[in-house]
Amino acid sequence: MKKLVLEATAPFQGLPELVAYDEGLFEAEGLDVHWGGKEEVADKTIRKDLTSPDGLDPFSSHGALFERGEADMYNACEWGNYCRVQDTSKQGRQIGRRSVVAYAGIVVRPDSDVYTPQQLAGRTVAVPFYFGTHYLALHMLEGFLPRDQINVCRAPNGSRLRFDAMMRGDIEATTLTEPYLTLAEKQGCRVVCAAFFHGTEVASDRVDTGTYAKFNRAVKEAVRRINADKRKYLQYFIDRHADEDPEIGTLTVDDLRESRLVVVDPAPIPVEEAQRTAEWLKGWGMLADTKAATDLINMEVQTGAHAAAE
Amino acid sequence: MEMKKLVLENTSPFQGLAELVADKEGLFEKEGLIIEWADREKGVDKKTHTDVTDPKGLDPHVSHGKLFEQGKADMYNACEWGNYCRVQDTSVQSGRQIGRRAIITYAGLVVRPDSEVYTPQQLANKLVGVPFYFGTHYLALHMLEGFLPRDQIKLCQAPNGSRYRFDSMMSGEIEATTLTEPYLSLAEKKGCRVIASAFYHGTEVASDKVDAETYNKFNRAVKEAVKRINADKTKYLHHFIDCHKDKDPEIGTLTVDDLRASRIVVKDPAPIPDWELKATADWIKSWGMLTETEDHMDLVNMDVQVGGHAAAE
Repeated sequence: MKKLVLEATAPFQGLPELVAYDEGLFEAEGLDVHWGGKEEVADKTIRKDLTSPDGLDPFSSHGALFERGEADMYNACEWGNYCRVQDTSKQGRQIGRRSVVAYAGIVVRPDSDVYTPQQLAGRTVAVPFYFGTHYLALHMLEGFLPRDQINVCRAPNGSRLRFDAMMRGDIEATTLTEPYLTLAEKQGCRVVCAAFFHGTEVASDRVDTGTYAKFNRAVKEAVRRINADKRKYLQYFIDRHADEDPEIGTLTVDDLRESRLVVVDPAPIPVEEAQRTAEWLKGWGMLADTKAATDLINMEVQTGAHAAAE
Repeated sequence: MEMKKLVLENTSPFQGLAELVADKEGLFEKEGLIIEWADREKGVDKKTHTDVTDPKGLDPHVSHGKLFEQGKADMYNACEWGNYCRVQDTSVQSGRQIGRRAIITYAGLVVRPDSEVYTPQQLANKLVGVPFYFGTHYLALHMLEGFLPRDQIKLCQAPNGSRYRFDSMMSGEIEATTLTEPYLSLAEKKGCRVIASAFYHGTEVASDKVDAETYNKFNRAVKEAVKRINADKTKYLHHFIDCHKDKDPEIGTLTVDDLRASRIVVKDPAPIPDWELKATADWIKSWGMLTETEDHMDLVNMDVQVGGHAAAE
């Protein structure tokens, strides 16, 4: 058995890995998976004075253990991982796309006068910089607004904290993931726009081609099981949070939507998509120290491991 | 009470639920208005044209506004973007927007279950079928340009009516299309993916038969409908099924449990805010439309808009 320490994850961004773990699929592949700690929230406050990620640490949560040498691999949104890999001190590289295609939306309070994305012009949209819901918000908003009318500020990672800040009126809108999107809708909030986004895995050299192939075989089986009965696995979205967040415990799987759960076999990051993603990030002033998008990927592991997992 | 007859172009719940409820529940009548619905859909082309890739040279009045332009309707509601273009090109001297409709429509970009597209970015250079000049055309542009450079957005002409576009997408003729309810729910039930979604406003266009007083009565009825819908959205979800099920038995297989109350958003009809009017006009122009409009304020009858809403308070 090979021991692999992964950073902790949540169903919205890592359901197949959680299922693979719980159902013994990693073990069946000879992998002894351990979860490293809990998802970290370095700063739980809304910081309206921080309006861009400039100067902030991309490793405040995703990648934190990895950078300390306490985890071998983590998964996070693709955009954030491009930035993390650029700044890694541990030679971490992306080795492929994770299997869940995450779903998130921009949400406003029931009494907000914002009904459409355009009406967020000049309003504060709080996002966790370097997390998927930050980049997704930029993508969604810039479809409806000129960039100079998009006002984002720093919010904590973890949908609960952002949801509370929005409901208090500290911010006009924020991006949420499941199960908090559903909770927000149940409380009358409006999801003014929403979309799916990809994520990737970042690994150290402890995760070689053979190891990642085993990992992917286990995840593929989890994907197959989830797609065969999505409803059964929706329960993860509640159970993951119910102990710490009793309000989530009041939700049932009937409240959640299967259509928001999309999982697909893990796969390489297509080169043209890597290129486009890098260019877009640079267009927002990020990833300035990266010359080629492919420098951020361990092509050898990515190519070999996915082929071997077929 | 003296009754006034108003002919409206027919509408669907996704874009006119509040008006349909007001009509059905006698709210217009109570305000002294007799509403007649005129069918704008007769003879409308229902084919996808993959060779027609932008709206240039197409008729903006092919469905919305068709009867209005022929003098057979007094008012219609449609998406705001399309109505800017229709009002620019109207042959009805008095045809202007007079305010925002009550419903904020929900629509999404949908792909087949077996599509390799999972995110909006992956629609780069893939064919997205949209009905030019309808809300789902403009919304598709908005959603896609957040994720793609404009030169990688490839649209083609698809028919209005979500059923036709859904079929076109499922047949593989197009990679993706924008759908509204109840077809979004039907698509999801069949395993399709709604890769991006958003809400959008619409407006009302009227002739001078609709003066401030008439519009005020109309708005009072609609406001009452909005109040009733917001008090019990679930109760009104059946409209989305009932409107289509006779012509479309597959919609008849849906139940209100398949639909989502959160996708119904209605609010009191209101004037179009000036800054939004300008922003919308500027954006439409950036896509090569609305080129003959110098002043966006020309697209609105401010007298009726201001008077019609103030009086309905």
